Amino acid sequence: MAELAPGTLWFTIAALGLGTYLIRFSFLGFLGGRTLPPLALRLLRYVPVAVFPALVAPQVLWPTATGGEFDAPRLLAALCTLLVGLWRRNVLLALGAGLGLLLVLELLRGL
Amino acid sequence: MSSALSPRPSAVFWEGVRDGTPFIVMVGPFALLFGVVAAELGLSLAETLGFSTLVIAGAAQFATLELLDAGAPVSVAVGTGLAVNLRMALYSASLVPYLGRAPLRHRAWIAYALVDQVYALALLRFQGREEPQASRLAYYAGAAAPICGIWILACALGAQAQSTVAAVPGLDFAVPLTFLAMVTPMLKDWPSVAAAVVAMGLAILGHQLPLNSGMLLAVAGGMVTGATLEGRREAHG
Repeated sequence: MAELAPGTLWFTIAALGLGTYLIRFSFLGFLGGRTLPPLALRLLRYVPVAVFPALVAPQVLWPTATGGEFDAPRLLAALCTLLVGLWRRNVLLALGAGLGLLLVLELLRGL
Repeated sequence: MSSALSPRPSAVFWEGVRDGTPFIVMVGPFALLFGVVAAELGLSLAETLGFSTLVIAGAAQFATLELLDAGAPVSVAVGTGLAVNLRMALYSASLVPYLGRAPLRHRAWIAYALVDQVYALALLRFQGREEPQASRLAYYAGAAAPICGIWILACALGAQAQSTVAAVPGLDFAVPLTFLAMVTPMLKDWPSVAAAVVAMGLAILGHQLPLNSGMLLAVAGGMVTGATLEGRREAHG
């Protein structure tokens, strides 16, 4: 760790914690029971289906574990999770299939 | 649905616990890893626990620590962490139709526990299901308990165990796979599929933009795509 002035780390933790809490509290806290306009509701319906793929896609192509190098087993595991999930509509089954495939491919690579 | 016919909140709480518990397997290793990395960078157990209880956001915690380690100014480290977490403002907004009428003291803890996995479980439960507010609160609390609990506990364990934490091959990829698995049941119609595809494409194109802005643009693009297609479909009857 680079040299930090005393208290800097705790200041960072507190600032990040407070800021993150305000982000999470924002709409739920301040808007409360007020009704949102229909267009906003329609846009918000697509938050989960937009956020999760956007978080995952760069990780699949440039995984952190390989230092950002493309890695075929991780791409295959992601495709496997996606296909099993779409086919069976079962979150845990999809995850188990993807993680299982990745474990097998990693063990094979070690041979 | 009349409340007389609804299950008791305690029963719904345990349904939430049941749905949240399997996520220990995915959140746990990620949290262990944070503890290990933090300890290796010289953080005390108290500082590591400070991160995991006050922030409870894996990706932002890693990003902030990495930047501090690289000697970045505190403002940049905190700003990047917050940018990574900005998506949670959208989580907050999309829970308003379901939990916005709850008393403020409830909304305060709901906001605290609003992490990715809890959010996804809550939406999977709430979408298209009419149930009283007490049930929704109970389910949310049940789902959040194991997920937030293991996050804090495993961060501490990782900090204590440090390098003795065995690296199971492939576990580093559990979090992205979890997100993929959780999104698949939500891809029920064409606007949703299109929103996901557009968000993915934009995230890939913009992954090198500063302050995580590529991801935020990707999310915005996906939301507009989905809402537009839905509007067009309704217009055509």
